[in-house]
Amino acid sequence: MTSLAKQSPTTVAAIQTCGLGKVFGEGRQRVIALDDVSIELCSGQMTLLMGPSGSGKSSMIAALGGLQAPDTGQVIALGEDLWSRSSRKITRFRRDHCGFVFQSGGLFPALGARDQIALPLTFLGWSAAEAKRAACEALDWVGLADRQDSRPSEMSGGQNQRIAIARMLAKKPTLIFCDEPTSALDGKNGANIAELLKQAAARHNAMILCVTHDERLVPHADRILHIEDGRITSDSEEDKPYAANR
Amino acid sequence: MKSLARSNVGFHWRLFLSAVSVLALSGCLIYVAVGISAANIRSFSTYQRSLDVDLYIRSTGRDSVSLQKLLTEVDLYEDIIRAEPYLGRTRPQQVRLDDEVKQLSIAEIELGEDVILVPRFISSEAKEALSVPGTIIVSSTLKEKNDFKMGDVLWNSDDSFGLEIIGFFDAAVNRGFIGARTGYGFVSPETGRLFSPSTPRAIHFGGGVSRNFSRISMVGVRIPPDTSPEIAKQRLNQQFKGASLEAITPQEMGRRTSLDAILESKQFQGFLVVGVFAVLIPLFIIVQTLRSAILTQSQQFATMRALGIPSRHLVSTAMEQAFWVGTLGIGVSYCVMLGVKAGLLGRGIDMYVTSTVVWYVSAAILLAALIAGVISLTAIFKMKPQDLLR
Repeated sequence: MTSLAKQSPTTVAAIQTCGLGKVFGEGRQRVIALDDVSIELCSGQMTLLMGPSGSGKSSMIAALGGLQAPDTGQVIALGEDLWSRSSRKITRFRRDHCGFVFQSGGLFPALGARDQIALPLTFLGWSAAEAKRAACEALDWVGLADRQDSRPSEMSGGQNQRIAIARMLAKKPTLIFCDEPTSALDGKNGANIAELLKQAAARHNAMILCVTHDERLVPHADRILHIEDGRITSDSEEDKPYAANR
Repeated sequence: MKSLARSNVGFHWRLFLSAVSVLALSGCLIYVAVGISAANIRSFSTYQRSLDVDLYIRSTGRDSVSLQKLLTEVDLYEDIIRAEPYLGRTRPQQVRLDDEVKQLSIAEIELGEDVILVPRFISSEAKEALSVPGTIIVSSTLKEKNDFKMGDVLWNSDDSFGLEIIGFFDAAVNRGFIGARTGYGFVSPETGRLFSPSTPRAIHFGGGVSRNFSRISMVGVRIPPDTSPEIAKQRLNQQFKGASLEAITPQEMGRRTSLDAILESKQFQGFLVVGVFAVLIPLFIIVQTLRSAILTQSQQFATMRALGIPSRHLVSTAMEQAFWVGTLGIGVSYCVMLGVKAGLLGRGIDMYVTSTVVWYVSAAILLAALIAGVISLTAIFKMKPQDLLR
């Protein structure tokens, strides 16, 4: 395996991976989640990562988002080798550059919509006033300005997912990772979420990597990657030499 | 903006209710153990604290020569306008009433108007009544315990002299479990001499100065009305340097008497053991409760980690939750304690709970909650952020 950073020093890609590998378990339990994956994901693009269950989608997003270290390979995120950093620096990287939207929403049950967005910003060092202003703007952007005090239990699944997107966008991340953001939503809500994500990519020139089974998202994507048994099996941008390790 | 911890405690109140309840009950248990114990120990110095004395002067040496000298040289001290020997005349006595032997501490009190070594609650009328030889006033505690009635006669050991009960004084000065052991009775020195002629005693004359100095354990003094006892104490102690004497306030006298009782009392050690268990057992339960509450919130903590929120904020959120549980526990335990205190008082058992006791018990409750919080912290990292992806 060669160093990807040395291989393409002038690249403007938001994230590049080189020879990513991840294995879970041992012996008969051994599962290869990622198998020598090398890809490049660019800013301003919404990329879908599709594949059957157990194909390695979550492992991929975890490795790229600084949530779980790969066993082998490199992740060059915003020009730096992510996993060569200390755990504290990786946490800081997530805080400063990454936004996540989880399938479950990952919202705080006790908080109203505005605090849902503002509170994490205060943990990131924002003042309460700044955080509230940013939260209100984000709520307005996702069309939920009138639900500032509503808790997750008082809103629909679609609304909660929009709150999660608003929380993610409020801090203006450069790298956005979504895990099945529309799986629990009906067609209309799913389309809304997809459109919001697309807009987010354009608005913040952010890279979006969206893990999904949902074919309804395909029309909104700039690029589609298919993964199976830990290997990228197809890439809609066929001219990318590293697009799939086929 | 309300903190996440406070929002969580409010929203998941059912999760935290058991922790708050356990803390409140353990706090109440500590209050009861400490309160009854303190009331008990404090009752040992009831008599000393009730005397109408501004300062006590004690000998720091082994004999009472310096105290005797002091009594004859009172004029040398401008901070002393009157001094009386404290003769330790309160002693347990056995009395007989209708063929039953009872225990009673009989205190001889001077009956003069200016006397200072006399309890404040003995009124002028009571003094006048006690001036008749063979009369006694006893505490209400004994009235309830021994079924004493007005007019009852308490006989001495050889049935040669009887004390007629002519009144009762408020039990408030003699509450606590001490009531189950003994109580006070007040008589004049004349009556005391007739009741127990063989007991060596001081013989008093005008001014309350004893001829028999050998039994003086302390001197009670009156200071000028416009002088603060604390300042007078400091000035006297300056003058006493090298004289083996020490001036102390009635509060210090009470504390020292109580301290002696603490060191001697096995009962106190028993209460101490109860107090320790009252902290340790709930601590174990609270740890489990807080831990399960945090485990229930593990997804939240995993989300916080995924968002890149530093670990210190996760820890502070969990600890703040423990803090709020502790604070609620303090409030609830205080309210429960007030109820228990009122209930016990109705049964003649006092709990002596001062603001200092409240502070210490509150601190113990909060400390227990925070320790439980610290032990529960490992639960925060149970769920990993990547688990949110599955």
